[in-house]
Amino acid sequence: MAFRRRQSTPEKQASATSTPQRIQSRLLPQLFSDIDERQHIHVLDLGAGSNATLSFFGQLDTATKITFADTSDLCDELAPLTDQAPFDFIHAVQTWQRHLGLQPQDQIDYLLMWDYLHYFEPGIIEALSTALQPHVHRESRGYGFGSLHSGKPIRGGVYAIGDENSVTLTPDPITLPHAHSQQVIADNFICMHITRGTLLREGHLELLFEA
Amino acid sequence: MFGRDSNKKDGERFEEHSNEESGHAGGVSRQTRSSNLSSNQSISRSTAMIGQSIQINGTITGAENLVIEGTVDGSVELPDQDLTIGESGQVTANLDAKNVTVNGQVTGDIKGSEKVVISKTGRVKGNITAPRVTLEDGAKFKGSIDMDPGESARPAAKIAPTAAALSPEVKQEAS
Repeated sequence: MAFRRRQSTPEKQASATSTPQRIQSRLLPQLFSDIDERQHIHVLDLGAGSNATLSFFGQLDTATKITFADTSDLCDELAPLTDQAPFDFIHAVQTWQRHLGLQPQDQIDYLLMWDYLHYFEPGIIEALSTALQPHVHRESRGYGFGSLHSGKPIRGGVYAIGDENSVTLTPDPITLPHAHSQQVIADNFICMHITRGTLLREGHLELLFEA
Repeated sequence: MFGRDSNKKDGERFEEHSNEESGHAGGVSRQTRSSNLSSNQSISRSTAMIGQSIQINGTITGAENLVIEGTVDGSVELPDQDLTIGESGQVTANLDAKNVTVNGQVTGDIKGSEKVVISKTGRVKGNITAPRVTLEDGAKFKGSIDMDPGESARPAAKIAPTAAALSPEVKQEAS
């Protein structure tokens, strides 16, 4: 099993101090097109705390709650589950629920998944979707990256929002363990559906999700 | 003072009073930043410190700034003061202060009435509520951040695309 913990290697730690690169996004403006109309927003970022993302939402004229789930902590815990037969799907869902730390009444407006789906087997992605389902409402939106095809992993790294039109990427030297195509993600992340996919110059397949 | 009370049992309350004399005992000290200030000003600007070797179980309250370099389990309530968790500080507690700066480790919820800063050496697992929150590069944070700037602090204009992100046509129109 090729699960890798983020920032577990000296190379990764070194990369964390490298200069972030800016990637022009085509879908972020659409993701946030109605953000000014919302009175209070709840953002779930599957990554670790990022000041860039925090600053972006901090300048809004809207009360904002951001949950940083730091999914990297979970890779090693979930890896053994998919090695076992039969796969304990319920346990995987419960692990996600515990890790995400959402309150039962929490409703997610924006879900930032970045490249995190590519750290997990499809069954684990489906478990994540099941864990998120009660927190998704009809106006929830999501954002993440897919691979063009299963043989072309996307570039791993620490992602954050640069501004309304771009994301920042602090490059990561490790290779992502999976390269899920848009179809694989659509088949397993079923609490939302993919409404748009755009191939960026850097090779990222940018995906926009809606409930 | 914290130092004299450090042998109290779990759950006992540690109180700081603004009319106490400054001084220190054990690993706990108070530093006054300016001796030229009037008595009240001097006290309000003083800072107490819980040293590296000090362990406290219970509730800490007070009316002066506090630096924690030791270990605290319980809660810290300094709603009108600044609280700093030093690099060697290990705190498992809910924190409530005006400004909170974390250079060490905190497990628990943090409430800052003005600002919370997690520095590059800071490690926080818990939820933060503050109008302004800063995560420095290298800071480690897991949990939720609740930011409501309030009416007075909110910017007049809503976010707009940066100039660099505008298309040439739009930039031309703007100029």
